[in-house]
Amino acid sequence: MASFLSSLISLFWSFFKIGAFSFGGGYAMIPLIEREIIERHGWLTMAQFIDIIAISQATPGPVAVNSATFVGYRVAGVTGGVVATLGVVTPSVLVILLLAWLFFRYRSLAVVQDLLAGIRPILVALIIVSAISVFRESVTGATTLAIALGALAVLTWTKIDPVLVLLGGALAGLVIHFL
Amino acid sequence: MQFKRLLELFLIFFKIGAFTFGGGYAMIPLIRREISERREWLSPGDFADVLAIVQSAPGAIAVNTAAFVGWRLGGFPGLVLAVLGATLPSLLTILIVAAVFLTFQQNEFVNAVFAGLRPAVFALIVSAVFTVGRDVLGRRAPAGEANGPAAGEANRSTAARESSRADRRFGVAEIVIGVLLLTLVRLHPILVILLAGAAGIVRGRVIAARGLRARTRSPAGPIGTTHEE
Repeated sequence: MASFLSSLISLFWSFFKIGAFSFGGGYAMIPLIEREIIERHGWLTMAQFIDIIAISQATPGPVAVNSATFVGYRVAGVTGGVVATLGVVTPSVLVILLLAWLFFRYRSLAVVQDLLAGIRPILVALIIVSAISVFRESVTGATTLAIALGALAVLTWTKIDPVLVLLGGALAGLVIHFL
Repeated sequence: MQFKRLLELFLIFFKIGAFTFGGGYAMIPLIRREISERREWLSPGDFADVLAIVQSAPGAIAVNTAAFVGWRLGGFPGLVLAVLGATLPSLLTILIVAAVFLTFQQNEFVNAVFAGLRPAVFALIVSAVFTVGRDVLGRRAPAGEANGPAAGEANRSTAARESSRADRRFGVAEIVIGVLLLTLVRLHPILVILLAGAAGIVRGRVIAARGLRARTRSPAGPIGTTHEE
């Protein structure tokens, strides 16, 4: 019971941190989740995490929230899922309250804008780093490299829905496996 | 009456949450339609401001918008219900998926599917590098766009073009340094984000100090100040 409670607390706290720093939504906080969830707590493997990213694309909801629910459920069942999700959502709600309040006082605060202008480019760095981590885990040979390049070409030069691109990858995986 | 509005808030954000596939910018049109076209809860101008705020805050856009709109329309109970509404669809879906996934994890069939999915996820992330990179480096927006006409006008002036080139250099430098700090030095991502924010503030201060001198000569306004003044 005590260990259940303590794992709920560390779930909440880890995802609170992730929620507080997941600027720009989506891929930018993959390195952060990787550090907290995979390296520090060992709650997931990198491969499982990439699977969650794939699932997140095909189900409603942002990656951070989906990972929270998934990891929480794995570690401590449905209660864990709910607690981790609360953890990831709470900081942004608090920040929004604060910003909404500030917003109506000072419509544009120079310092806040400078801060945000500084943070924006770092999002790209974070996404590049997550691409590197995911590459190491997902591209294991010639066939997976071909899938990656094909998917990238489709995403870059066509307007095909990313969900379809993922389905294509899944199909390619099946075909290659059973050939 | 109050109860009815709270229920409506919950239901609308439940719907938005249920259709936010892949997260992010794709569902902004959906939110706009529900909030400022179907119901006149926010004027289009207010909606743009709300977007600027929810994008600057950490967290998912759908959840943040729910928090903001819920708070404006229904106070704290409104906020709680709207956020619950936005979060519940993904919570329920993932709980089901997690239960199923953990059962079938060792399945050969499922493994083959995920072996193909993973490289596709890699491709998605690389393509996000391109799109976000273009957004961040291409122009001073999203801030410029979201900040309304004042910032838009500033972007058109020569001084602003000059400054956007400087912004781009700053951005590229920050990206390169950021990647190195994250991979070679292995700094914690939170620390890197905080450093980037501090760099932005210092840079803003320097530009403002320089701009104060430039303003006396040029009516176009200080270099690099997209802040409304």
